[in-house]
Amino acid sequence: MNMEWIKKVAGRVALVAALSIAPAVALAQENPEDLSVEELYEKAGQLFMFGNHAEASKHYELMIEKSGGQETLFEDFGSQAGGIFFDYGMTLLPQKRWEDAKVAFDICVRSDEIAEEVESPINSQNPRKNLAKFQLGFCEAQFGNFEEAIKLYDEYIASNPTPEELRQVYASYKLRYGGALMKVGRGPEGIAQIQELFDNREERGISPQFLMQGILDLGLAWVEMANQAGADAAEVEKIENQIHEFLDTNESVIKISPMDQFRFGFLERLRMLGFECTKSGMYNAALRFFALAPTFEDVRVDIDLNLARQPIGLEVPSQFQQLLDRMTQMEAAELHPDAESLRVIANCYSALENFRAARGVYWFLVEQFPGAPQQARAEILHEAARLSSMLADYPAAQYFGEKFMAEMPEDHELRNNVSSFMLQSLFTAKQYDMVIDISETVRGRYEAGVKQRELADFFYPMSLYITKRFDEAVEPFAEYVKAYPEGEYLEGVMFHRGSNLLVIGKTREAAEKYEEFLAKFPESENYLDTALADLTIARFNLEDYPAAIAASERLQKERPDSSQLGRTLNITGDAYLVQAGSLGKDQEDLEPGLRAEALDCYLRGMEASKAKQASDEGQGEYHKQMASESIWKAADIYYTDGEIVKGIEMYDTFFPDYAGTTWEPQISIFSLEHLEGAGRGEEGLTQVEKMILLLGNQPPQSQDITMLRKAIGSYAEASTRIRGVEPTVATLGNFPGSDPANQGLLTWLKIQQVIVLQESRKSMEKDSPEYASVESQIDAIFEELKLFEKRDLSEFVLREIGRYFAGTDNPFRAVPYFEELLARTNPEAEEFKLLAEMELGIIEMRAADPGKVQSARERFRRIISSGKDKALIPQAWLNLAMLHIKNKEWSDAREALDTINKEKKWFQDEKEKRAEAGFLLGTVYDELDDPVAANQAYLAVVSTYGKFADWVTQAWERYIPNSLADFEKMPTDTEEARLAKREREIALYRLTRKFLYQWQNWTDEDAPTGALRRLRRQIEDMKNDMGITPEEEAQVMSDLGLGQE
Amino acid sequence: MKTTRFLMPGVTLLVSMAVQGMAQVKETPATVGLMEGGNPRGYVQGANDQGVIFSTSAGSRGSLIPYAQIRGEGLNKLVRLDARPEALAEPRVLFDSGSYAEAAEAFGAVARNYAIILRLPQNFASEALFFQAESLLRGGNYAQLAKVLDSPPAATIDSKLGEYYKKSHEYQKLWAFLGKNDVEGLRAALAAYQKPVIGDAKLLPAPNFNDLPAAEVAQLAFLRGKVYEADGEIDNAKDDYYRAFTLANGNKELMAKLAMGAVMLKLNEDPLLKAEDRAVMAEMQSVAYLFSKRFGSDGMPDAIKKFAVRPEVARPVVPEDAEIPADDGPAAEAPAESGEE
Repeated sequence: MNMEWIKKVAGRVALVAALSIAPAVALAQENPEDLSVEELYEKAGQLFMFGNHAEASKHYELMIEKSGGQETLFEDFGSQAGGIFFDYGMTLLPQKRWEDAKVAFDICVRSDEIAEEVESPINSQNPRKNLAKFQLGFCEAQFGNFEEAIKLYDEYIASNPTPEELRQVYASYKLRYGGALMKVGRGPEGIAQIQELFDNREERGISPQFLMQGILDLGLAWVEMANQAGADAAEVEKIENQIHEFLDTNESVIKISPMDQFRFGFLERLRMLGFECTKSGMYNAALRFFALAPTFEDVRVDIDLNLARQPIGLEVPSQFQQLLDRMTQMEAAELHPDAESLRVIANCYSALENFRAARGVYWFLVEQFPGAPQQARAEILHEAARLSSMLADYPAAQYFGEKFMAEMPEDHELRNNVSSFMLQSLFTAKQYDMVIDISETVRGRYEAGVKQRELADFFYPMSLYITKRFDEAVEPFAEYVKAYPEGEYLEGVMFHRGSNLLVIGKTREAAEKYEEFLAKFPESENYLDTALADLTIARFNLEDYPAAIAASERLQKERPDSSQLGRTLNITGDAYLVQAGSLGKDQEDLEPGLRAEALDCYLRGMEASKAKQASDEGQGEYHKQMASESIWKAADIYYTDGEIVKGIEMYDTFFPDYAGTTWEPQISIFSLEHLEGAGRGEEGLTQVEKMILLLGNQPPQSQDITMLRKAIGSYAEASTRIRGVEPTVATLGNFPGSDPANQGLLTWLKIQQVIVLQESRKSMEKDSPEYASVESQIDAIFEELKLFEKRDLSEFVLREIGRYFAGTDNPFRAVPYFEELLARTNPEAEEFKLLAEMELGIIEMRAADPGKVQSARERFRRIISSGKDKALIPQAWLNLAMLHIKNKEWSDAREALDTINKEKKWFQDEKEKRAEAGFLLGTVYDELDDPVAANQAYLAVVSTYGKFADWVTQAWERYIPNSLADFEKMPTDTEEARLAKREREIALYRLTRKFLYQWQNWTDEDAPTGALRRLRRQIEDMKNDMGITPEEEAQVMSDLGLGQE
Repeated sequence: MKTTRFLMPGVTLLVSMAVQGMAQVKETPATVGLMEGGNPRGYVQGANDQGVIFSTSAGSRGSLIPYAQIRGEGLNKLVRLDARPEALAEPRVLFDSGSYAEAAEAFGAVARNYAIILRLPQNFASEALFFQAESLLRGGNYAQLAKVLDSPPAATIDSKLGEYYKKSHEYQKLWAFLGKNDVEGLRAALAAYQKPVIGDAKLLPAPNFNDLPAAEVAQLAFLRGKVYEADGEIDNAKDDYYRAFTLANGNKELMAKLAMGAVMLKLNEDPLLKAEDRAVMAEMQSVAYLFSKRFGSDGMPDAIKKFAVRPEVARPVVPEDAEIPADDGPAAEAPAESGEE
């Protein structure tokens, strides 16, 4: 075979490439099977030159096969056949067929050796066997054999390639060699090799495209180094700095138009490099690489401007059209490539904790790529919501969150997170009902205690609390504390748990929870002062005044500038005052000190609140109220303690600055007599007139009738003294500023006229003309009162007037008002009707008329069976029991009283009524001839309600004879039986002695029924009747620790 | 690329209207494709909205050939001007190499010298004006950009050039408002690029832009950031500046530099930064560090430079599903490996 064709073909390949691209198409269309070996070789070379690498490879493979294989080729051409394998290998490299290429180049490298081994060696030269080492090294590098690659590169250089060949491979050599050095940890040497490429770019004529390739190769090598560095942050930083330094030096020389960046695939490779950098934690390097990459729009604009340069009338050239088509194809991906890049960029900024930058990108992605694949779309919406939430842009978090909720399926794994971001947003936007709805959904999806549920578990009770659904909030607050013992929101939850309990009246639990909070967060920045203030209130309400004062003192010490101080000092003053008012006779000397403490609290509270009025922005009105309370209470102490001048000083402090506050009526009314004493009576009367109008003009539901009555009463008394009876009666009859339509107020004023007149007539002779005149005035007023249409009075006023009359000596005056209430059919009247029934029943039960008594009984039964007003039911049972007792219906009475006895919650705030019911039960048992049960009832009264003197003493008075009767039934036939009986007698005597000792400070006023007096008198009779011996008496006294009398 | 200046839009360009190298031409060689047949060669001596003034011999008085008699639809009238490739060659090289100041001057000279053809459809004098404006824009000389676009010949960019120029020219006009420091004009012009704030969009702190590519939104955002800044809406201004250097990958070097600088200045005024608020500190560090690496820190004020430290980050935080497909597109053309066999 003629060896020369190889040389000829190789030469023609270059020529064809230079002439035209048209033959490439034709070449691909010929059937290779029809071609000769020579033609196949020639056409393979042409295909390679035109970039059709796969077809070129096929032609080489067919050519080798047709030639009879590798051995035949070496038989035919000797070492020169290695060149065929070199050419073949070059077609494989662009296809990344590394294994095949490695084999081909290896054959070329060993061509001399192989050529010698064939049966008939031919002497020829293979000039490319050393260059093949360079390519073989490149193949080794693809398999990660960088040391082997370096060895081959070194061997290639050591083979002294011609200057021309070196010039041609220079750029590739530098890139490959530098890259391999970096891969084996010889970073600086590698970078230096590639740097040479950039430094010699002009001299060597290296294109920007090739330099870009250099940067991309280097970039991947850096990424690999960073990956090897792993978690060694210092090493990663060092590598990233190398990247920055290299780009600082060389970035300016790689200016490539967006169109070329796309055409040469750099855009994709830069995106990939940026992404790889993020995986290595080199976020800043990633951002720099991304900054080198154009967007698709940049590419399109660049193509447009290139097209604009084309001659007029020319169609879009095919090379541009191909680029446009390729772009269209890539942009048709599920998620636009630019969007993919932006996700990575956003992730970089997020990792760098620049949430605003990241949010901006995700926001754009949300709006511009609504059709992104579901998983990507979910992540984008999630991140937009999350970052908005972190930026405290809660409305935006809600915006993105709502999109997520609308677009993503119910069971999406990120749904709960997004709900949480929205919760924050909605909570801040005060959309509490939505917070509650979403929280309930989240809470239903996870077990309590898991992180995904915590935010919902926090916002849920908080929203219930804020929307005043306090009862519902109790359980979820408790659940959070239990489920998240170290939770992120524990501090707020524990505080509000206490506050919630305080609001719903569970005062003891509230106090305990506040104390738990203070133990857990003793230095709470947000809640310490409020917790201590609320604890003060809770302990005060529990009548644990020392504890209330202790909490207040801690507040004063640890948060002396707290805005809670004024309010808390007022409560503390109240605590001291209550203590001062409840001292026993043996502690009376403590009272002045306690009152002084109270006064000190009010005065300091006044100063604290005054200071906060100016400094606590937005809370001025609240502090004004607190200060007014302090001033009034201090004035009250001064008045009570006889320091009238100081009291009036407080009055003068109050006005005019604190006029209009809640405490204005109190200080006005209770200062009146002192102002009168100071010669400022008219001023006081004028002020109280304002208060009468203020109180009288309040809406019925918020009217303080007691205070109104007090105001009118005090006013009338003072006015009578200062102005005289007639002017007073006249003023009350035509009160300045009163509204004629306000019949409630006019009613009270008329009644007060009557009272003034009644008082005035006391000093008159009954048959005197003055008396008769007064009588006629009174009659006239009642005539006027009759003219008041009860129909025009509100239900509330009717009730209050009715109650007022019911509490007077003549309760029957109340009847028409209550009957008016019962006659009404409007819905507003319903809530007052049961009370009217009760009051009418109480009035009727006093009557002797059996019909009225029966009516009363039915009224009480209606209240009980209705069940609507739970506050009235206990009293209805008690009244019913008393009616049964009155009619000697003992079994019915027992049933009613037993009902009260079993319902332990009834009369919780009126314990004396429980004592009364217990005593009555005992009397009923006595009537039923059951002294044992009766004594149980009496004993329960004595042991449980010891502070209600009248009931306790009555109960014990009745207990004694029952017990004695019981003793009489005891057997006495044996010494033991007699001894047992005697022991019980002595026990009864001892108890009676003990009680009388305990009750020694009570007077007959404390026990008006006389039972105490009788017991004191009977004790000596009892002693004698029982035959208590001096020895027994001494033992009893000794047992009681009282010694011998 | 390092510069020693901080937050300045590059060098100041003074466009000289003086003749450079050549005087204004009185006629220029051309071939005209006639409807009735024939492609006479001669000289274009001028043009108006009705036709081109054409003479078949140099120096002779030409006559008007109405456009209706010339082949081609609309602006694509077949009038081939011989001088186009040569006249635009050098300015284009300057433009492609990023020498925008010089390119602007060179394009300006072409536009001026060939003013006689400005009324001709698809004429290269208007093309040169367009690229002069584009060069001024890319070089950051917005004041001069405004002057060029306000000049009467600039109207021919709209009226005489084809679709390829339209969108870019609209953005040139927007940037010109910045060059004139006309905030109200800019505000009004930007309104057309924003979606109405209705429904749920009221929850967002700023209106959404219309559905536009990232590269355009980045520009619009930078300009709107200026408006917000003028209005004292600092958070919205910062959001927009961030968009300017993130949405288009931050690949517009000058705009990225300006936007990052604006963000840093705003952050530096934030009291939370002085209070060492962690979130604001991290935000400042991330921008200052990247800025110092990308543009150098020599010109940064000391108050900001101190934040140019590499933020500590944990790795990796890239979600596994955020893979960028490496080979999902058609194979790109390989760059010629100069020197390989």
